[in-house]
Amino acid sequence: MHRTQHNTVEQPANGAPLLVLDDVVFERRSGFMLGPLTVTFHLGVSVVLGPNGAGKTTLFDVISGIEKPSSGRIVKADDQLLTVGYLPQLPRFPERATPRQFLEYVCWLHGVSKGDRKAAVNRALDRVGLSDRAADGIKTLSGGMQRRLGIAQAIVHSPDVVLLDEPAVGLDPQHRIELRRVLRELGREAILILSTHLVDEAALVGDRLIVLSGGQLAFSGTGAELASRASDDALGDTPLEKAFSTVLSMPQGRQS
Amino acid sequence: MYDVRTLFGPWVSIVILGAYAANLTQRGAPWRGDPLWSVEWLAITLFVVGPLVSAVSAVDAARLARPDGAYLIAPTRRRRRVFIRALLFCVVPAIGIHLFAYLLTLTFGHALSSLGDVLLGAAVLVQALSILWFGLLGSLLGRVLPVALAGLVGGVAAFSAIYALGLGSGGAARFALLNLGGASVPQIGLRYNTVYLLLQTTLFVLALMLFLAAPIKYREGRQSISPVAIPLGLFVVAVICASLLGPSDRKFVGPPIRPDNCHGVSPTICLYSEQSRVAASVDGSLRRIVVAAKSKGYAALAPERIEQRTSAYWPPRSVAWSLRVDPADVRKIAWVQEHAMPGLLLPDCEVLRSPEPPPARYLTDMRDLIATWSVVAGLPPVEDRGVVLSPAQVAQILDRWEECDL
Repeated sequence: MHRTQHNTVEQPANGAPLLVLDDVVFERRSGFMLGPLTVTFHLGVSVVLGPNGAGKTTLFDVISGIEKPSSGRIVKADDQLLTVGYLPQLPRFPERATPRQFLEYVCWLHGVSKGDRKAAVNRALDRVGLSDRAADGIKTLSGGMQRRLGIAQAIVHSPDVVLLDEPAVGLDPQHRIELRRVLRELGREAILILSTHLVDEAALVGDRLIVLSGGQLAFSGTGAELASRASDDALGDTPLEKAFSTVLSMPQGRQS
Repeated sequence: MYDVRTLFGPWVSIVILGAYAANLTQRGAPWRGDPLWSVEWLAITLFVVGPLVSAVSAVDAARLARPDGAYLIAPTRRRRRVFIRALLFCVVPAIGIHLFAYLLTLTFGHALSSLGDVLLGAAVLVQALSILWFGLLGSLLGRVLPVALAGLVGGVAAFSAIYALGLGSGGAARFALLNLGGASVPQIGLRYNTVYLLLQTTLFVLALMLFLAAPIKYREGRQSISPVAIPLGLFVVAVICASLLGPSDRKFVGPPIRPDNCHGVSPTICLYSEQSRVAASVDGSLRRIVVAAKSKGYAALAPERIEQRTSAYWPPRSVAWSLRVDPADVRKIAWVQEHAMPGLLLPDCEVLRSPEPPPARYLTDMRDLIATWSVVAGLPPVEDRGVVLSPAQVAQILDRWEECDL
């Protein structure tokens, strides 16, 4: 299997959180294999791109702890445990509870002290624009609102790492714009990793784009760096889409 | 409030409350005044509560363990506590209701003074721990089962456990973890076996520790089976060892306790003070038939001393005649002929304890003796009157019975 990155664990320059996937491999029973993957995530917004089945969700499951790597390790540079908040593609919410009750429960799950919970919940609700629906039943929320609640539960405990799998799905244009603002804010406080199928959307918020293909790292760099890979005859309507198609069509050994 | 809205566990308390209410109001609450019987009587409800708690805990655990809910649990450092919290919302109210029901039985039985009885307290603790155990069983199974199956499997597993580790093992005269009581007849004059209760407590605590130690692991989004199978397997081994090495009797230990509340002469009638509620009625009825027999020349039917009998205490007829007293029966009109007379006349013979039916002659003799005693005491005729015997015939039958020549 081709190795795409060096195997040395990077150290943070300024004490900021750093998430390192060190030679991580995860094999599913179906035969699908993610990795070997060596990637370092810094403070900021990293966007994971890739076609269906590329391994985006698997990567998130591995980072969140749902799946244990078959080999390799996931570490913070100073070897401390990272706190993680995760919004999967298809989360299940406790429909009979209210958003406030649900978020207080999530705070309890993550060990937020009782005295800090109310403020944490209010902050999260405010960030995703659900403060006025805090006391309504979750089942009465629209699909887009539930998506925003999902984001709130991923950030309510101020985690070091926030994983958002397709966070914009179901959001109307206005809330997509608002979401970009929230994501940029979050990127200043945490290692924010999100996935999307929308390449141009990714470049708008991502400090760094990561392209997965067949469980392998196909590209890692800025939006501008990705755009520079575009070939004229590649599929796509925009330079980034063409670049994305170009990266995916490249043989594994030539990718970086 | 979140848990009340999202879990089934807290709501099962309503059903449990109904089960205890039904239990405590059955048959005129004959357990009143007998603290040990109160504890045993309460245990009858556990045959319903156990499977119910197990089933509901399994459903709640299965709902928490669903793959689409893993995003909440997997990233936390409190994976186990999620399941413990859900379990507690089911078992704590159930245990609370059980303890409250126990307090009610003591209050209505005017036996609150027995709250200080350590062995009774230990027996109630074992029952409370059993409710926790049923919850643990369901919760463990629920982790690895789909929601649709979890409740059914949890309930069936609990019923099976009750049979395998309780009812079904009773006949084998071995230690049985889920021998929690359930007596519907008086348990007066008995006491609990400390070793038995300690062993039950130890096993329940072991189950709790194994549950707490079982890690929550995921594989392909679902919870791994091994963290569930290993503690269950270890627990089964522990239970098997305990059943082989543990004591066989949960009660009936130590020297039999004799009835301590004695009144009158010729006959002197001794009952247990716990049943003072019915003592006057029993004493009056017995004295009447004995005095009548004596006055009409049936000396063989006029013992000098009558004592209340238990499953542990049965005095030889040379010391005292004896009978069991069930307060639920004393209220019946024909109690003297249907319960008191047969009880007093019953010989202490092994053949009558065997599963084989007693000899036909014995049954005829018993019928004739009761008929005779009824006539002598001026009681209304029994349905199957039998033959009225002479004093000599009565004495002859009782002499034969004394030798277990039935």
